[in-house]
Amino acid sequence: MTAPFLLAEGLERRVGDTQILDRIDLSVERGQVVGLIGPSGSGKSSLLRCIAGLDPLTGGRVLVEGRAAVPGDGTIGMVFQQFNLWPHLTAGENVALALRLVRKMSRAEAGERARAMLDRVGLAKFADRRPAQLSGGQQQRVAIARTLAMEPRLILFDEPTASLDPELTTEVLDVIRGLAETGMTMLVVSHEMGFVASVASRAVFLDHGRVLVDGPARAVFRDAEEPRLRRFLSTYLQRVAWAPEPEAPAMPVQAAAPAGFPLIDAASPAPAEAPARFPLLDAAANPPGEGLPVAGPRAAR
Amino acid sequence: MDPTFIQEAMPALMRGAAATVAVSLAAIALGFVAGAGIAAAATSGPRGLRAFAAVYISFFRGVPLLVQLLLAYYALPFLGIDIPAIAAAVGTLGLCCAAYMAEILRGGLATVPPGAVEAARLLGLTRAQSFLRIRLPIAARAMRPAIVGEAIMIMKASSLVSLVGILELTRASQALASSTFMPLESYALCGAIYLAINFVLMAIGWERRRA
Repeated sequence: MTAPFLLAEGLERRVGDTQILDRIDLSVERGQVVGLIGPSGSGKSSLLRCIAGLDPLTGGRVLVEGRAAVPGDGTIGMVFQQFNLWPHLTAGENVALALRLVRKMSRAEAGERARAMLDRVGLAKFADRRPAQLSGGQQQRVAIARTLAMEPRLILFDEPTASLDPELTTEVLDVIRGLAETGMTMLVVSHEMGFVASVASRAVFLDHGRVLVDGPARAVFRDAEEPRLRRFLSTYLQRVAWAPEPEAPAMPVQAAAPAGFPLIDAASPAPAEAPARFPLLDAAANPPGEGLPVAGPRAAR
Repeated sequence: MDPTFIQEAMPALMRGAAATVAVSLAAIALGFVAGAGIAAAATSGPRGLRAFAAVYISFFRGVPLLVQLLLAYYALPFLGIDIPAIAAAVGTLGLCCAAYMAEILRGGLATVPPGAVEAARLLGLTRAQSFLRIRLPIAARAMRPAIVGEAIMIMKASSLVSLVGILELTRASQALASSTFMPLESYALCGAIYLAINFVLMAIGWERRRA
């Protein structure tokens, strides 16, 4: 049996009296897209930050391809909620800086690669703009291009759309969806349940720093047997219930469904290859956007 | 104002102005370097250094610059430390400037979002690269108006060093006024030259603010 691509064993993080991560075990195979869901304060972002090496662990270890990952060694890339672009540099310079300083590329080489990366996220035209001159969605796409340029083998997305409006959210999610199609290994913390349901191959539900549910995304959303997850999802569905009806007839909201009754009607399971069918989640949280062909070198935009 | 007077007075005043600019720029440079050290000590130094930085900043901001200058030039010799007037002038102005620069730098670096530094770290930039290419440029934007303001203050405060015998712009105009008995013209010219010098500094601040 081969070692998993990412292995997190017994991760613990404690700050003062607060247990932020409580013995988390997680193993991720290459090419897997794992959606991390859970209420605020459940430890989702902390888990990502500990895997990235940004926050220190008080116990456990993280191995990527069998080795301890060091922040900045190029193995792990991370996309943040607040984009974290460098405001004094243009979009192109944001992408090119690490290529020059870390990868030791020449200015011309780095510039060319930065343009190619921006093209990949549909922003080739905006290379000379500063972050302040871009929309939130565009800024996040620049941040994704900056991460992709360093060719990480694992990308962590920490609520990449949490500070974006629904339209901008869609354009960022389309980019992530395109990345998933290229086989990139990703951990995505998101409150966009529809997106997680449709893109992630696996969903992990955290609460109070512990993994409560871990399984195939469809099963996690369809069955939702774990009471805490069930409560979490029903609150979410209540919140989106009054969204306008999508074109396809939406499933009735069953927020107050009795235990054992499926929260999301999946009476007719989709064929294995077809996209997951969670119409309400899909429509409310992730309106169909213009898919950006992330894999293609020349996205039309 | 009599053009002939201006013509005759300008060479001496310009020599004084050159001394003013030289003393001030040296003091600002010293202030910036020493200020960076004090800021580093105040923010991330061990307890002893932090306490030193706090005392340093309090002393130089709390005691009038003129008193500091008199202490350096007239009082230190009583302790066996005899320093030339130019060293007392540049040193006092520079060390005083450092106290203000330290506070400006500390405040400027605090405005850098931690996320910008984290992104740099994850992308593999070293601490030095992150400081020089990310933290400092971002902080510089916030600090620029305050640094230009401090530079202007030092340029004006340099008039005090005339008291320890440095022949700078103020002292040159004093000499001019007493030798020509034309104080109005002498000091008006003196003020106009200070204004012109500081106008250049202000213009640097405006230019950069637009960029």
